[in-house]
Amino acid sequence: MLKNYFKVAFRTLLRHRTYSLLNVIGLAVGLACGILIFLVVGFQLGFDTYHQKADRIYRVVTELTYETATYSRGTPKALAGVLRRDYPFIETVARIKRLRGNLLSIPRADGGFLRKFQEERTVCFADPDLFSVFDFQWKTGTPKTALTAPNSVVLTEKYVRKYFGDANPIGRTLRLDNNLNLTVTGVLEDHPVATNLSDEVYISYSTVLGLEARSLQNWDDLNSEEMTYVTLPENTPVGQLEAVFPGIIQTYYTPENARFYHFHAQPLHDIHFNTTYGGRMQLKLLYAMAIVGVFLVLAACINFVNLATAQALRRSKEVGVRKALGSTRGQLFRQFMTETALITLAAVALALALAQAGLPLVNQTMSVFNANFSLTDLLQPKSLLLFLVLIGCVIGLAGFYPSLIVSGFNPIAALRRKMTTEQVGGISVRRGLVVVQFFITQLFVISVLVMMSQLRYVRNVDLGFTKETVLTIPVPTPDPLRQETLRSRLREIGGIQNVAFGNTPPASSIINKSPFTFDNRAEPEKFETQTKIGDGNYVPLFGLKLRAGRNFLSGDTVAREIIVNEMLVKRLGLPSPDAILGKNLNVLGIDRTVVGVVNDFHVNSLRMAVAPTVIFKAFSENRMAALKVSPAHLAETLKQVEKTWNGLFPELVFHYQFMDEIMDRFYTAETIMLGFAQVFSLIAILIGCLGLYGLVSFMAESKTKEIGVRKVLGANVGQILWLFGREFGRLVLLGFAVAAPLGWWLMSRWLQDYTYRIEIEWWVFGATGLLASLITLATVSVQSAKAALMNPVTSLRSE
Amino acid sequence: MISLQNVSKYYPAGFGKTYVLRNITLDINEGEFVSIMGPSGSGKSTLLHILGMLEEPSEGEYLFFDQPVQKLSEKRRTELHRNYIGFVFQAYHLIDELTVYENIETPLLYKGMSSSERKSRVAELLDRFNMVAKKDLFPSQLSGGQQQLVGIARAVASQPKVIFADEPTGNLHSDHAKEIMDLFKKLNKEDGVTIVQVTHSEVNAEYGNRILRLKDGWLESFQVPTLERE
Repeated sequence: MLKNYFKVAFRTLLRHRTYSLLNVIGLAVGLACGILIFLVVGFQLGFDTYHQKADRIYRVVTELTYETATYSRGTPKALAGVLRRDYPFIETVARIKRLRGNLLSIPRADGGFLRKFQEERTVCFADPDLFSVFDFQWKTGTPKTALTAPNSVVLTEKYVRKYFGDANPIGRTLRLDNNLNLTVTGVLEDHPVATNLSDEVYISYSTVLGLEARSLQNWDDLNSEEMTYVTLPENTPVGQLEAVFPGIIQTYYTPENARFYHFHAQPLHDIHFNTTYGGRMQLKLLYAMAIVGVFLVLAACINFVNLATAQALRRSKEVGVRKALGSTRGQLFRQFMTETALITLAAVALALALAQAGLPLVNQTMSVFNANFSLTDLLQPKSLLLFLVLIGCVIGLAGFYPSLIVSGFNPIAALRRKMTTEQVGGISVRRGLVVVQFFITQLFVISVLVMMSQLRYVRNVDLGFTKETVLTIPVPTPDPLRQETLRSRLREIGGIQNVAFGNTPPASSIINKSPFTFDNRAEPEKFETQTKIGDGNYVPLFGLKLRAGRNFLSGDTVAREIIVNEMLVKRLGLPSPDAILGKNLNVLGIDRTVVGVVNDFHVNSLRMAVAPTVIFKAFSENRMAALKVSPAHLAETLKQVEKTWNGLFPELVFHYQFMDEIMDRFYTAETIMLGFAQVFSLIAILIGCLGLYGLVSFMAESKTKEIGVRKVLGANVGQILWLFGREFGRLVLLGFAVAAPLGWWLMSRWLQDYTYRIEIEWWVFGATGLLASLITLATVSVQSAKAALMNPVTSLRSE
Repeated sequence: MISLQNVSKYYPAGFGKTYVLRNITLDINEGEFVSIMGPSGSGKSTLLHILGMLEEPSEGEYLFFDQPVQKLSEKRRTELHRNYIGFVFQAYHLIDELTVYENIETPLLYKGMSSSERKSRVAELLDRFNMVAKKDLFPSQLSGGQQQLVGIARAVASQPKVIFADEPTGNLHSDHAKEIMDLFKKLNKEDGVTIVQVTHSEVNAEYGNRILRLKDGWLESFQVPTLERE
């Protein structure tokens, strides 16, 4: 019997190739997206879940509540020691201090170096206990001894290969920042990809203890890269840990500072998703993606149901015959389910192929996470089970309704070919399904349009400073003389119009904040100010406009002048920018005189509001040089800059960044999201078109007689086309009526994240409606024109 | 074998009812060859469908082998279809995706016959209907007469007690029609299969031993065909 079903199924599919193809492609595309989204979401949700103690690992984080709250994933250096010493109920306490932008070299016997490497965020100082908090696999060495002695270092296999190739690394020497020799004492297996432990080089914490002796007891020194991890014993409520923090704060902070400080225990599973503390992925973004995935699979299923029920009309005769021959309803149901299963499996096979083809693109998009997805990820028991359940659901969803309808045909009506649209799964149900598809498609289009506008807005908005043709290079020395040498060498290069030194460009991912005292008042102000280090060229080079006063005097070598922005003036409640000129401002313990007021500018992404900011000179803090270059001969200029720089700092690695790139980096998540949204809305549109095509073919078929009669009675082609146009116009409108308000609401919510955002304008909805109508028109017109142009005699004879 | 008592069939129409069949009382015995005749719309096909249990009467009682049909479950009725009843249609209604062989085999599949039994049964039928050479062809590759032969072979495959034929020769040339009617006659005489056919053709009606005439839903008369009297 099953053989018979398969035979009929195969032959039917072959005979109605177009239909089968539409069905398989529609379902496959939807499923492929489903698979890819499943991989991405599963990957993100799986971050750091592999650790044995995952459910009892916590990171201690800091909340500072001045006028507005500031959050840091870092803790004061001394906290770990206090926790370890005074609170024995805590199982393990481990400190980690991640370094940023360091040079690692492999020294030669004669004092030179074999190779040098610039490491951005892969080097850290770590307590040996870190290895009992997290799961590391040791290749060589033991966690107990490898990181106890000062100047010892442990590498991952990947970095062993990078530094030493295939040679045995144990006992070899690495030099950090050209002044600290480290001995390799252990090798770790590479991390799984889904982890926020991005470090590859672990230096024993004891190495820095001496260096830190002075700052160790400074509880106000907070660095977001100095983190404290703890594990609690099993069945210990986190409240017990939370409860010890107030006591610690009371003991170690001055009474006035104690008010501001709060420590929290952040569970490990929260770290990846909590953007407040530097989490890299918003959970709601993942949920949005998951919903998109479900929508796409759903749209594909709807499609399938539409096409399958339309097709049922053609199968009515077979159903009638089979019933007359003694088939039960159950047998027919099973037969049609078998067919659905076949199509679904074909679609799954195609979907896997499509997903495989799409993987490189996804991997590239997710490269910030070092993602390397492969379809074999689906083979893990959990994923496999979910995948099989998904396939089962699709077969159920897509097969159940058509099969039920078809098997319920009245045999006589079926044989007489008198199947009315009501019997073939009421046109209203199918209309409803198409409306759902229109709704999904238009929702996607609205989202994409809004995201695109917002992203274009943030890229082109007036940031308050110039970012065009400005690039930054590192200034690796605090020595003013060497800095001046660099400056004068750079000024000799033809393509460079201006050079400014400072710690960071106006907008940067690094934000420095500090309390300050204004006008010799007794108390510091209630709010903090952001601080920027910049020299006399900083303001003109970045095109900051002076609202009052003047730029730094070039002769100000003692660096006692300071420039503030308008926001600071406003927050101090001064009547005009001029009012602040000449006043004293004490920041970081140094008295400075306000000499100028510049316009407000953005110091980070547009998600952050403009805040009070000051700019002052501090040669020893200069970290970067900003170069204003002429666009012509850019490559040549860059080459010369590199040559000059390498001549001055041969032991270091040259790298540069354009301001544009720095700005774009703030919007990586948005760009990824927009990319996904664009691709998925295109796919939703495609699937929707397939569904429409199916419905139109179905309508054309069931209206054959009506069209024939109307033509005989004198209707022209246009009037016949209107029959279809009216029908689908209504469906588009209905979908729009639901999609527009929901889209508006969703996207308004999304825009709330941006302090500077666009208004959702009417044209977004106009364009969406127009696009939907055009797509519908294009899909519908071919098939309905065919029906309209048909010779009425043929259509009437077939009755 | 078949007994109808005051069977009526009507459809709701506006506030009243449209009658298709009115008060039909009828007995058909095993081994009979009955022709149902009448003008278009007189209810012939409806009567045949009721007899074949494809439709249910609105009123009245139908006994099939002394079992009240209207009280049977759907499952039991399907069983009757499988084991007692064969259908032959005017438009043949072969399954387009199945070959001649597979079309004939289908009712046997539903009957749950074993594979070897099916093979020998289908082979026997192919042989009997001279279709061995055509067994792997699809319906679209056959002429109308040939398709109807397959239709009949399919109807008799499960060795039914009765065959209901709805204008079996309606779509055929007269030559082919005669061939088909001779076949029915033979099945009736040699295999003892009861046959009930709906026909427009007086000639075809003559093949039966009894003619029922319907008009506007009423059963008008029984008539013993001339051929039978000879």
